[in-house]
Amino acid sequence: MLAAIKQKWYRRESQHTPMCEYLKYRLPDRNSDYRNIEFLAADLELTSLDAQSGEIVCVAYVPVIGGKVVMSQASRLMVKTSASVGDSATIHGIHDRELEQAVTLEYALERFLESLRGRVLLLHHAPLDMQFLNIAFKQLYAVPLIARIVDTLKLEISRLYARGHQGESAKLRLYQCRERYHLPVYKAHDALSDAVATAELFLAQAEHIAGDQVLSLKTLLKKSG
Amino acid sequence: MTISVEVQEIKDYLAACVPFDQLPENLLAKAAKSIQISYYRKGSQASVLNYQKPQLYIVRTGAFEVRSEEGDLVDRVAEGGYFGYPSLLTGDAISNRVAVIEDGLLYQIDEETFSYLRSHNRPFERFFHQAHAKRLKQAVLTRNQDHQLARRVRDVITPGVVTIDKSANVADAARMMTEQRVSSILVMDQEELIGIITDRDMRSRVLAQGKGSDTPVTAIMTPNPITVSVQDFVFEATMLMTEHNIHYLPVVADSTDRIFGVLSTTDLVKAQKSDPVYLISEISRQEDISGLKEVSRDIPMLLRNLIEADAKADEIGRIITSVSDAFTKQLILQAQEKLGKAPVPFAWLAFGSQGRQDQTAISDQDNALLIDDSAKPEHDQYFSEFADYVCTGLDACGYVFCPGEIMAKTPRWRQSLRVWKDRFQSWINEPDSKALMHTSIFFDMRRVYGEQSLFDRLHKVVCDCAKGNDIFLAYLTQNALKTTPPLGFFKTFVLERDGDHINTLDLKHRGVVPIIDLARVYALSVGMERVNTIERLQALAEDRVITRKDARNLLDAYEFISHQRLLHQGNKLARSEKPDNYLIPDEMSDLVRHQLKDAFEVVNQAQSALRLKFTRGFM
Repeated sequence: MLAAIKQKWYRRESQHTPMCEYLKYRLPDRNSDYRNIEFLAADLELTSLDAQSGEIVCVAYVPVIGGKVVMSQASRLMVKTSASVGDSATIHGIHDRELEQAVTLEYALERFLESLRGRVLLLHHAPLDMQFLNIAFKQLYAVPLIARIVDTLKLEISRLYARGHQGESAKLRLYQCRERYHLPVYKAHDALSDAVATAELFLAQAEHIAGDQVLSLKTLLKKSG
Repeated sequence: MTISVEVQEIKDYLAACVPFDQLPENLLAKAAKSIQISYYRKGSQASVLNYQKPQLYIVRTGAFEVRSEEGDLVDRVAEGGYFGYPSLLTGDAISNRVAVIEDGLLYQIDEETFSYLRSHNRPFERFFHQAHAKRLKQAVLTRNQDHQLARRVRDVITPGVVTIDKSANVADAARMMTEQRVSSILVMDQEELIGIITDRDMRSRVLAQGKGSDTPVTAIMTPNPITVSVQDFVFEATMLMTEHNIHYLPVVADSTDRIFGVLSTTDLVKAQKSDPVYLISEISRQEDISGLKEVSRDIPMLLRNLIEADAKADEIGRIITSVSDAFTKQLILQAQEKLGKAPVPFAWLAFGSQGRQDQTAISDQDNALLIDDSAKPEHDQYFSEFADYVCTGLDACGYVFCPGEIMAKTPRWRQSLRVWKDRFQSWINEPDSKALMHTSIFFDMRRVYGEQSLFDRLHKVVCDCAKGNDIFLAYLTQNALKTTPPLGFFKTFVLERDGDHINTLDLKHRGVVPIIDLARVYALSVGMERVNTIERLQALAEDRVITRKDARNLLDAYEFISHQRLLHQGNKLARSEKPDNYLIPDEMSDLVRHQLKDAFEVVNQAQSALRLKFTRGFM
């Protein structure tokens, strides 16, 4: 109820912007089984881990529809930054050639919001990405993002906790989580690979949590909250 | 609007998989972009396959098991393997089930993309066709194992055999039979089988005749017993037993002459209840032509059952021919009942498809009478009436009179051994292309009833005469090359241009017959007495007349084309239409079209080789 009021309020605040369009769509129903809901796995590439100084260099996402990661709808948008990419180029393998196709952050986020309509956002370690996204959204549209978010890292912690692990020494990086499900090792380290990797990890986690039972979005949100 | 991009990881993975490694960059990128990824957990009840939309499934990690509707294991697929392609290739509904053996990720490619890749890349297309063909072969193999009609002697006998040396006496034999609890014993001269003694022999040939226990076994045994091979069909053995009124058949291993066991009527009773055997025993009970005519109505049903049971074309040919043989034999017995025993020895010969044992449906009769040279002119009256009875009877049962009059009731084809020898010698030594065209069926001859030695003497002359006879073989080759497979220059089908069957493929005359002709030329060139096409090809490879590879290719092509022809006839029968040999290409699936072209190509190449080998320097 609260969310619905908030959604309405934000819609007015962000009138005539892509955010307002996004907010016209209902959020996925919390009581639905996860197999009947669409997800959007996303990953950002950043110049720094500090949201105050860092910038978004790349926005990548891929939807999960009917339990399948749909590659034909995958997207990777390079973002023009105020400064030069600098050192992060060597870290993330972003080359100048790719930067030629770069778009404005506004354009990238508009595309991202379009894809997120009616879907649950999937992130590995959501707080970091959400910090960057919300700063950008507030600047552009005056309001932060309202979305149902499942964090695969938190989901993993709660799974490990449920199985008796204390979590303090757990290996929780994306590739480490994937290893526990015998998912393949992805060598490339770009935002889209990570988005796909996150989507696959989520399918494995959900499959193991659910068994052959119903697994509602509500339960998933609680486990990743 | 989304900008579709490929993920390097997926593209790299595909690029390492055969046959994706054959794809050029643009097709590989298209494949990678089309992928859908899903995760399956071991023991999950969720259906892996999408039954509405066939997909190509690529195992990225984990292991999966494909099973048929009946639960038989079809394939086990691990990382880098595929499943789901048969439905994509054939357009048939998905019937298999897939179970998760180990947790894993599946990449899926939709039908549209798969078709695009196939039509734009030949190696990719070929790979999946071959994978499918391999699986089909596997499927046929497993299915035929428990197929009643195709049961072989090996499947029904208990191995192990009790033998006794020829120097032993009756008391030794009786003791041994009692100890080993058997009702028959084989008499051996070292490694060689020379006779058989049964319980009944002990009674009727020893006790009833007041012979002593010191009587040598050789005095009471049935010498040189008829044997069967472990490879023979059970119904063939049954017919031998019925024909000779015997209850035991020594069984030899297929390649060597080593004794493998003894087949008894008891073994057969256990294996019974299969249709052809029933039909044949019905035939043997009929006392007149009208009774046989009644039984002959069941043949189309038998053929349909065999086709539906997916028996091999070779097996169907042998079974259907056995039924024709049974009709012929029963008519001969009826004729003898009516006209009395023949005044001199004779043999009833079958030519063409009945000779080769590859009949697929009731067809025209091609037969003849071979009469001992001791026959006198006045005996023709008997043989004339005799042949008339049998041929008329066959006609009534659906084996209609031969339009070319090649029948025992025609005086020209009811002759003594001497006349037959002369006739074959003149065909072979003074060949005439036109005459040979009508006589090639004579070279596929088999004795159906009567004196084996009479037939052997004729057949030996024919084979000896033909062997290495270059001029005759050149003529025969020329004839064999008159019909070519229906393949155009660009590997397109060449359809019939006129007649009632316009725009169809004639599978018999353009597919099966060229292979039969090829095998005949090669077989006669080395004086081989076999007449069945498959046996000819196998023996030719064995004797290195043709290479093993060529033989295997021809055998596969022969089986495939024959099988398609039978399926087509089965469809016609199911719709109560008259079976024929004319296939409409548009009604074929892509896969069949593709494999049929491959099969025709094999025949094409074999014909070229034949031309080179036998007509060089003559034509």
